[in-house]
Formats: sequence, C-alpha cells, structure tokens
Amino acid sequence: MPFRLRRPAAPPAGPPARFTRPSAAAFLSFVVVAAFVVHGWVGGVALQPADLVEGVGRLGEFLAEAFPPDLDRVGAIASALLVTFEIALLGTLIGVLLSVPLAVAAARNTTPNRLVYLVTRGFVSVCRTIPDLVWALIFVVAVGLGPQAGVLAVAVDVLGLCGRFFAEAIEEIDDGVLEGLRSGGAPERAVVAGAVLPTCLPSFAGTSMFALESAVRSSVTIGLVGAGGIGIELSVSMSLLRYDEALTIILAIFVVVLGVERFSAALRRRIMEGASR
Amino acid sequence: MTAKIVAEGLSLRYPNGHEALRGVDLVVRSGELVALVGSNGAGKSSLLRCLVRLQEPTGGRAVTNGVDVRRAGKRQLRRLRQDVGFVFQRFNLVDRISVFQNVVHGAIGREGTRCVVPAFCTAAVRTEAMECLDRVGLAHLAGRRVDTLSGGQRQRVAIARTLMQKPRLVLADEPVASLDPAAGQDVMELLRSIAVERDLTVVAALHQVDFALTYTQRIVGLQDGRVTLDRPTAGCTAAQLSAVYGGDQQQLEKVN
Repeated sequence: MPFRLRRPAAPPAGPPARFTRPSAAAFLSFVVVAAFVVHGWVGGVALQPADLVEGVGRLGEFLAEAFPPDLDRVGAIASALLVTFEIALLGTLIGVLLSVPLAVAAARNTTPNRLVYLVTRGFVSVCRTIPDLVWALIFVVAVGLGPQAGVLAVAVDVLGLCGRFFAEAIEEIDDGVLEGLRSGGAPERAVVAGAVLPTCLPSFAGTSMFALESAVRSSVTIGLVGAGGIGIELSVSMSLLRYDEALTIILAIFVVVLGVERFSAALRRRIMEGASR
Repeated sequence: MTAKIVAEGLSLRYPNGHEALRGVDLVVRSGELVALVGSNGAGKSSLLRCLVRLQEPTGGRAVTNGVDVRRAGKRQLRRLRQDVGFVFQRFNLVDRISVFQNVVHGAIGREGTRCVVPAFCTAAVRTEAMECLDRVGLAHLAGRRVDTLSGGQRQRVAIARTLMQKPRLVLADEPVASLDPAAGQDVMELLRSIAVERDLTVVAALHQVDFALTYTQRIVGLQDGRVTLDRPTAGCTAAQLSAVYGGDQQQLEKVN
C-alpha cells in the first residue's frame, strides 16, 4: 500500500501578527506627547551637557563653602523650625477635623442628597488640585505674612487629601452596618456617630498621619513665600550666600521631617494591627 | 386580635425592571409566629424590607404596626422602625466596638443620639442593656469586641440590640442562614422563647423548611413575588411545601 500523506482538516492558524496597528487614539496621544517634548527641548526646557558639567562644579563650590555648617544662629533656626512644625500640626488638625463632616456629605452612602454630594465633592477637588504653594500665596494676600497664612494653606491642602480619602473609606462600609442602626429608628447623625466613625477610625487615623507627613514637608516650602517658619530663613541665608548657615537649616529640616515620618509610620502600623485584630 | 401587618397588593419593581413583589396580600395578627418560605429570589427579603421601608415599595399598600408605611414622613418612619425589631442574616453589627455598645445602640430610637456612646446614657438604659444581654446569655461578653465573636454569638447580640428597642413586632430576614445548624437551632429557640414571653409578633424568612415547621404557627409561601401558600403550620403537607419550591426534590426530602 503506497504511503499517503493525509491532509489535515484545516490548516493550523499561524502565530499572531508580529506587529499590531496601534489605535488612532494611542497614536494621537503619542504624537502629542512627543510634540511637547520636542517643543520644550527646542524652546529652552532642555538639559545642556555643558551646563551640567559646570553645575556639578558649582555644587562642589557650594558644598565646600557650606562645610562646616555654621551653628551660630542655631537657636533662631530651631525656633523657626518649631514654628514650621507647629504650622503643620495645627493645619493638619484643622484640616482633619473639617474633613470628617465634609467626607460624610461627600460619600454616596451617607450624603443627605445629590446636590450636597456634588457641591462637597467639587469643593474637595478644588482644595486638592490647587497646589499648596498657590494656597499659601493666596492666604498671604488674605491674612498677611506669617504663620497664620501657613496654617490656612496647610489646612486647605489637608482638606483636599483627607476629604477625598475619608469619603472613599466611608463608601467602602458595608451597607448592612448602616442599615443595622437605621432599621432601629436611629437618625442619620446617630448612624454617622455610631457606625460610620467607629468603622472608619483606623482608616481615618492612617490617612491623617500620612497627611501630617506631607504637611511637614509642605510647611517648609510655603515658608519660602512668607507663610511663616523655617522657609524664609533658608531663603534669606541662600540669597546672602551664607551657605554654611543654609546647610545647618537643611540638616535641621531633614532631621525633623525624618522624625515625623518615622513616628507616623510606626503609629500607622500600630493602628493597622489594631484594626485587623 | 389586632392586625400587626396588613399588606394589600404590595409590589416592588426595581429600576432594572425586575419585579421582586407582584401584589402581595398578607395580614399578620398580633402574637402570631409566621414563617416566610420560598426559594432564592422569591421575594421574602423584599417583603420584609418593604414593611419598614428599608426598600421603597413601588405599588400597593402596607400598614405596619398601624402606620401606613408608604405615606409615613421622616419622623413617623423613624418611630415605626423604632417599634419594629429587624434581625438580619449578616447581623449588621458594628464590628470594631464592644458588644455592650452595640446593644445600647438599640435604644437610640427612643432615647436619642446620645445613646451612641454608652457613657452618655442614663443608668437605666445601661442596666437595661445588660438585662437584654443576659436574656440572650451573653452578659459575660459585654466588654468584648464584636469581631471576636462567633456567628451564633453575633446573632444573639443583634437580637439583644433588637430587644433594646422594646419592639412589639420582630421581622427576621433569614436569621439563621449564615449559621451552622446547631447555632441556627439555638437562635431559633431563643427567638421563639422571647416571642412567647414578651408576647411578640414575629415574621421570619426562613430557608430551612424544618425550622419553619418546628418553630412557627403559620407558613406563608412566596413564589416569584406572589403568595402561593398561606396556612397553619399544623395543616401543612409536604406536597404543598414542595410546590412552593417549584417541586424542588432536595427541599422535599428535607420535609420528609
């Protein structure tokens, strides 16, 4: 019997094409991003190798002049830094306290009605999307130079962060927990106080500590525009070319920010452990 | 005997077009222990929830505890809910706080928002809460956090919270469906004995036909959003019950 090759019923499908055509939207966004990069480079937003080399040299000069750090004004620096820390602390406290009622109004499952929901959501978005430095500039105009403007700027910034995350935490609550109280005839304020707050407490506390960390950093920078604290000290030292003093300030800021971060991280870990007990 | 629940042509239609209740007529008189039976999606939960407007009925009439549910204003609705105990399948307690605090929450309806925190309550309310906990046999766990308890214990706490409302009527939505058989039996036993001693009217949606036969006096069967069976438990035949489940063989075996 002669050997016969049997044809398969259907040829196996070949491997997928090596390249697939990108969608029109993907192609367009690529072109737009590329256009920005090219335009920026040509228009001056570029890194020039020559400048970079020179810059490294200047950085060396800066460091050479900055060492050893000048500790003459360490008392004044410490008290300015204390003001910065207190701006962050007070601003965070105010922001967090205001965030709680705002988040209740801005969470779908606890808001009294749709209009309140939209208005509060919008307000929180505005607080969040305008950068802290811009808020500081606005409040310096409103209440004048000094820590007061700083506290307000931090509070609004924290409100933008906490308002959003608190509301999301509230929306994650199981509806049944709220119904448990509503079905017993509890008014909405009792539902919030009795079910929402205890359920969300770990999440609120964690977010608040995170907000404090970011507030300490931002209260340093908003000091640069006159909103109180260490920022203005740093700015003055730099413009007077007192680099050794500037280094003291930078190191002091580093210590404080690191301390707050460590403290907050430890506290958050404890809260999370308590929550999952 | 007065009617505790009167439903006339009660219907519920979800925005997506699903009809959970299609004209339910039901009268429950004071002191009755009624089981609502039926397969998943037959409308048991929907009916109970509509009776206190946890779900908004879309047609018909419901009078619960003498209050026209659909016409009740905000305050009237709160008073109605305060007078009606509702027991949930998933307990619906606040997990991160103590058993005692959860039980005290049952008094918010009549004592006001300050009962959110037991420390602000009157001594009378605090004593009452301990009595309710004692009644369900959990006084020794008053200080424990709810999330450390077993399912059966949590349902007892929820019943204690309901007792704090001093209800005349209790609606129980699958109270034992999340519990193991032994714990389920304990909870049903507890519900019945409390109902008898306090002269409560109880309507319980039950998935287990044997519980319905053992613990209630009347069985109401729902099928596809309609009442298809309504008779005294004593006179219920296995064939009638299995018909409610569309002749489901497994349920029939349970009955026999």
